[in-house]
Amino acid sequence: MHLLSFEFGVLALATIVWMRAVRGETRALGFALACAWFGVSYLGANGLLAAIGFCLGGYGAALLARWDGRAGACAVGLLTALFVYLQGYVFLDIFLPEAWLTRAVAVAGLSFLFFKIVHVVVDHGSGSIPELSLHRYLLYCFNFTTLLMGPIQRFQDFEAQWEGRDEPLEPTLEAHVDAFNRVLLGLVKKYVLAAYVARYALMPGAEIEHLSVARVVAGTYAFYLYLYLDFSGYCDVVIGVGSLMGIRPPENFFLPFFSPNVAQYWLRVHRTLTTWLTDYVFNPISTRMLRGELLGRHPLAVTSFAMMTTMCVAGLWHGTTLNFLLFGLAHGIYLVVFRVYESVMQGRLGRARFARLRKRPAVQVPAMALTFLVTGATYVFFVLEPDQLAVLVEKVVSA
Amino acid sequence: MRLIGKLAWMALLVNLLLLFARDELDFVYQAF
Repeated sequence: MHLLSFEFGVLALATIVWMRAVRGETRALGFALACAWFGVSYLGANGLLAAIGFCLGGYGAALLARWDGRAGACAVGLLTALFVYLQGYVFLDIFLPEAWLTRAVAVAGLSFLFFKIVHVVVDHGSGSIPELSLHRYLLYCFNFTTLLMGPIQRFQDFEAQWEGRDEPLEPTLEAHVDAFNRVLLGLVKKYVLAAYVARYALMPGAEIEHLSVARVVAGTYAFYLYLYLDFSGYCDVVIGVGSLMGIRPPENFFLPFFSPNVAQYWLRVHRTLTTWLTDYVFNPISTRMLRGELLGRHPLAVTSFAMMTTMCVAGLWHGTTLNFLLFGLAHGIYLVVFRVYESVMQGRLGRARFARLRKRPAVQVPAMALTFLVTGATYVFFVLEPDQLAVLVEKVVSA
Repeated sequence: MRLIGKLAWMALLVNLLLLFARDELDFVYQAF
């Protein structure tokens, strides 16, 4: 079932009609059935059962976290270990015997589910989610618009819309036409534009022995563009469907290719992932370290360390191999370099003058171009396996 | 006026899909 298939169209349309026509518990039942249909279509029966088991583990962890913070932290640790095992991270080869590495089930979209669950566990533990009923939690986890990929919606946002406290769509014809156009725009991005760019892109696992360096570079940037069109197209479709349905996932992209620096880039690309990482990785690390007497005196060093760690987590969240760690490291280095540059420039020019300088078009346009070039270059880690990366280095050196 | 513009945009998007996403929209072509 893909987004342009007849089945998906029927599922989306039936759910929209159901969610708008029915109220109360029956509404939840219909939504649950739609999510189950979607889940079975994409994950298969075994995959769906494994995902349900994973979510139930998360629910137990959330209750534990509410009861006792340390017990909750242990439960999150166990969930993380289970996630790493189910995903089959390559470094498991070092720790586990070979017989243990054969995975019985592969669950698509587990990385999205995992981040949603960790958010619920932490927020329920801290009291940000005061009440957590099992059926509402399962509906949140298996909401078919964001199950496999897409924006990482927060439970509070989902619940506010589910209960009607927050209306995602104005009751006007124009707003409905906008939502429908959003779906169509997403489909055009994904099935027309991304499909066109894909012809020129190097796809993951590409063999580059017979290609020139220029072709590899062009192919990598084409892949960068392809990935944006494909993923933001998907997000547009689910945001449009969600708006019409009454549970609108949050915005995820804000013209990332016009980012004037790498920090802005991460606020414009897959924004819900960035805010998740900020709330649950960056802030806890930096806050805890800044409380220390010695480290508290070096905020730039602390921020840099926290950024590097956060980006390594971001990299490993995208994939299970060393390449994705390198992707995260590269972005971590970019962020640290940018932060140091910003700090030095603010020291020299003063905050106000530096801010004025950054707004000048003569500075902004080259900054955007540089950001596009450096961020796009890191997608070589998505495209090439380590042996092919070695081939590329050899080609560059010999050229 | 704005609504007409939005409907025209919708028509353009639908046409783009019908023209360039033929493989994915095979079921539409089969039906008609």
